[in-house]
Amino acid sequence: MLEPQRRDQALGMALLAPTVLLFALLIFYPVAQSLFLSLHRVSTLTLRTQWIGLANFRALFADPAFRISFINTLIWTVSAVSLQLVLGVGVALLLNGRLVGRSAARGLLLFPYLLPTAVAVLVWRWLFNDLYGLINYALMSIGLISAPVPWLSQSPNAMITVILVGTWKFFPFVVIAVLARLQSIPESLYEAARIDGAGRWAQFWDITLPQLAGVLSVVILLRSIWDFKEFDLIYLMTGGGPGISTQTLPILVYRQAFQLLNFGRGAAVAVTMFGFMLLFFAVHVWVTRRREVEA
Amino acid sequence: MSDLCVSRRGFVAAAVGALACPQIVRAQGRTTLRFWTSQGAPAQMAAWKDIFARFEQANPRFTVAIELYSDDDIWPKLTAGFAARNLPDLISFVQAYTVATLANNDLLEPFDEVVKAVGEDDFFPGMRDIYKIDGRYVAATLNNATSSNLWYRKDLLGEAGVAPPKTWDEQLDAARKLTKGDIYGNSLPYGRTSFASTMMVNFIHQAGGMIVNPDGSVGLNSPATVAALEFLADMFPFAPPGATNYSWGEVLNSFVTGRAAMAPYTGRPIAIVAQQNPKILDSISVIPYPYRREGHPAFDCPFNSLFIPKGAANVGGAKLLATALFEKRNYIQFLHTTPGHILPSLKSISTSAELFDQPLMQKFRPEIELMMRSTAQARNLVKESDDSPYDLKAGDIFNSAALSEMLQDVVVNKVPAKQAAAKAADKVAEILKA
Amino acid sequence: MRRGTVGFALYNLLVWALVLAVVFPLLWMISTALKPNDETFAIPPTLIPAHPTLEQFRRLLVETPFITYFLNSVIVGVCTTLLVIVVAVAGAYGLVRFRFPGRTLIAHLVLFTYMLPAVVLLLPLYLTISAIGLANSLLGLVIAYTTFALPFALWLLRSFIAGIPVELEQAAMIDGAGRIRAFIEVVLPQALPGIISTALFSFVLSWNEYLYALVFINVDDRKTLPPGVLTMLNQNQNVEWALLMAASVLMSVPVLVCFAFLQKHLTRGFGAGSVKG
Repeated sequence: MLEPQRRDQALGMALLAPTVLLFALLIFYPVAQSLFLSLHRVSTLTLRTQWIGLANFRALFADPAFRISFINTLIWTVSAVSLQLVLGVGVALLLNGRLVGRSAARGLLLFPYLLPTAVAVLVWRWLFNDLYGLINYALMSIGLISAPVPWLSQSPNAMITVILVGTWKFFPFVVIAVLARLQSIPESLYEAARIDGAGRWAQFWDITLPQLAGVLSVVILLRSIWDFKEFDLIYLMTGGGPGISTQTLPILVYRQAFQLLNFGRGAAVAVTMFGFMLLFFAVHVWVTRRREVEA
Repeated sequence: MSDLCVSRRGFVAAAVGALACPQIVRAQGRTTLRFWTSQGAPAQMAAWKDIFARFEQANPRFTVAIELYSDDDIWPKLTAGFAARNLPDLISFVQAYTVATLANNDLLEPFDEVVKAVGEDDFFPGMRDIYKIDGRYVAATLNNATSSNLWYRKDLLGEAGVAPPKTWDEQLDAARKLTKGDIYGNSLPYGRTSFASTMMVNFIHQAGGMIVNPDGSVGLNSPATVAALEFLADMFPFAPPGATNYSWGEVLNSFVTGRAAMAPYTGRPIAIVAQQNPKILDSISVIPYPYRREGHPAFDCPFNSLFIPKGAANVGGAKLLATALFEKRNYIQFLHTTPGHILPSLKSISTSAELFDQPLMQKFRPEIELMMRSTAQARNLVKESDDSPYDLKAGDIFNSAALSEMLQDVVVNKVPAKQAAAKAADKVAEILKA
Repeated sequence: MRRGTVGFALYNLLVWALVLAVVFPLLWMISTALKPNDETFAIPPTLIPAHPTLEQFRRLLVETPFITYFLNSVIVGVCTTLLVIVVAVAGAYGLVRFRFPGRTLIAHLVLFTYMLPAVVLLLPLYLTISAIGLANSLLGLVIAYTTFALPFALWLLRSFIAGIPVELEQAAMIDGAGRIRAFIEVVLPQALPGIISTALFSFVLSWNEYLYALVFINVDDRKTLPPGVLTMLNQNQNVEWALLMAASVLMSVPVLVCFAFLQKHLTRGFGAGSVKG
């Protein structure tokens, strides 16, 4: 740390001012308002509010659909984040090697991430279509299946399909973050390890992974938060169906706020999600701190 | 359209202008009328531009700006518009259910002037009265289409030796005989989607039942509903394997690609088959959707509505524009952009020679005339029978997905039809009470 | 030596097979975009068009406002990216190198923005944007997207800047460079991979975003690609597939090429050994 001089303190705050300003303007107010609205009966159309205390939350917790949606959200988040991490780190390591056409491969792998979700989902729904989708056609022509598989319209197929598409869509994010960090690991560390006779595996465990720890910790935190509240992909893929087998909490928020026009109830779901993520966040910060102290 | 060959400096200036300037810069002294529509396919945009150019010529005070929304996202866009008081002057193509919800919240301008200017008697009465609340009009339908038609393949039915079905029993029998190889007998929307809800209303009506009785009591928990659910469960094995997630697009495509021998739809297949699968064009035809023997023929649709939101900046201009859309030339030009799909709400247009002055509409004239007759009889939850009063809660019931969830309970969760109907009836009762 | 060559070939084969699997939907999109309409749903499906045509691209570019949407998306994407980088680099540097009250609190607070679902922020955010007179403008979108991208950018850059030894900076300052010059000469190059990741992230976020763009922008000539293309080509799921696929190819391929180029630049920079320890 540089000398903490008074002048520096002012400069530091000045550097952060734009960030703080933007958030005060565009986030603090909406967040506060969501909290406020969750305690009211609010029609999305008129936005007229009527204080009802915790009634929205009580109604929510008594609703079995809320419990199912919560469990669905956990299944989706944990599976999608884990798969993204494994695939993302694996691919980043592979791409960091002596690959022919490395830049092209790196560019192409960004494709899923770059394609707007709304378009990506349309294409995948087509590929997974029961009647004219290429996937069923290919599997049937090589004899793996004898009748079309309903990828999106049966439980648990639908959840599995959504998780696979979610992994495909977002793993490049992990690749980008990890690859950037991989490139700034000093080569000298590996040279020293090689001199000490460390194999590839040992180099990975002793150098690469610890060096990636910081980035991975941020990536896990952010991807968990983002996947926990992912809406577009799941909603456009299945609409939460069949039944409510892929309905997650954000879909419940949307249904409440924009289909049933009950904004207060939607805000209550959102606030519950907020609370849960806050808990996750606190645990994450605690674990990170402890690890830093140990190191 | 902006000129794309501007200099670099010009481009930067234009970019800065586009970034910062929130209002539309238009010719001076003219008021811009904002027109929302979901119908923005390239051919339709071309037609809108022609129609509005003629309107601007006749009404030099105005220019018209087309603003597209998508059906799936109408509520976020509409509620944001109301919240920020940033509203279009005229909105077209939203469902009558949306109109009911807006009317329930007193968010509509009266529309009587437009209906009278167009000619109250020229409208098919059912399509006109679905917007009548206490003797006043809150909207009108510019054009409309019921999906309570059964599209079928003449060739496949012929091979299987079945006649086009008139009743549910006959349809079930036909579906069974037509399902073979990679062909499915009958495509139906079993998803938790608006198409499934629309068809569910239809099936209950065809079975002789109602969702809400004319006296305001819930009629959903009835033998007719149970019969409809049992019929749909019986039909399920002959639908494509993915049907539990089907909405409009999937049902349409299953028929267009030739994988379903029968399917309910509006007249959309005509143009899509001609474009994407012309080899079956000569073997498709349509009949009114079969009904339950103990019930009666019934036709339902969400209706394409035209209305002025309360708070629109230019109500007078909006009324002029709305009226202009009903002028014969404009009317027919727009209908021809999707031949056979959307049909006239005015008697005078439906019988005009110009309507069929289009190759596909000429070729399918008998089918289109049949669908016009069905569409003229169409209803929905807003006014389920002649005796029913306008139901301001219809939109809430429809959007709650209570009806499609009831269907999913039966076919996905294998809940007995009786129990599913009772549960859905409770939900509807709760909505009516709220 | 031989084993090395075989290993090298196997490794390349494996990675490229993986890459092809991941981009398969892109191949399918390109294939469909090159087919005439009546081949879209041909059974059996064809991966290589039987009668390839550029008709869909011609229709898209000539008969629809696709180019306008594209330019709008580029403007919003580039402005968002620049704004995010400037604000986030300043912010991250401030967070790492200065001590002042509440600095960790700020770092944590910004993440809270990610903890409410986007759907529930839509209306309040739209009201704010309208209140400051930016409804229906690209600037409104730029500001909204900047807010969405900023927390990630701050966190990522913070971890990068924290990894730069403070001694390097002190050394530069002892050599007579001011803090700002030390920042530009020492910190920026070191944080470059992080900055590029941030840029990529911000650009992709604004390039893909659908719901906010749909609600914030009404007029057609201000629309960005996702809402512009989808409201035009997907009506109640009656999708104009061939046109949509042509549009999807045009909205992803140019950007992919740009990023591939950028990556090459980045790798070359490393090759020169400027950052390697």
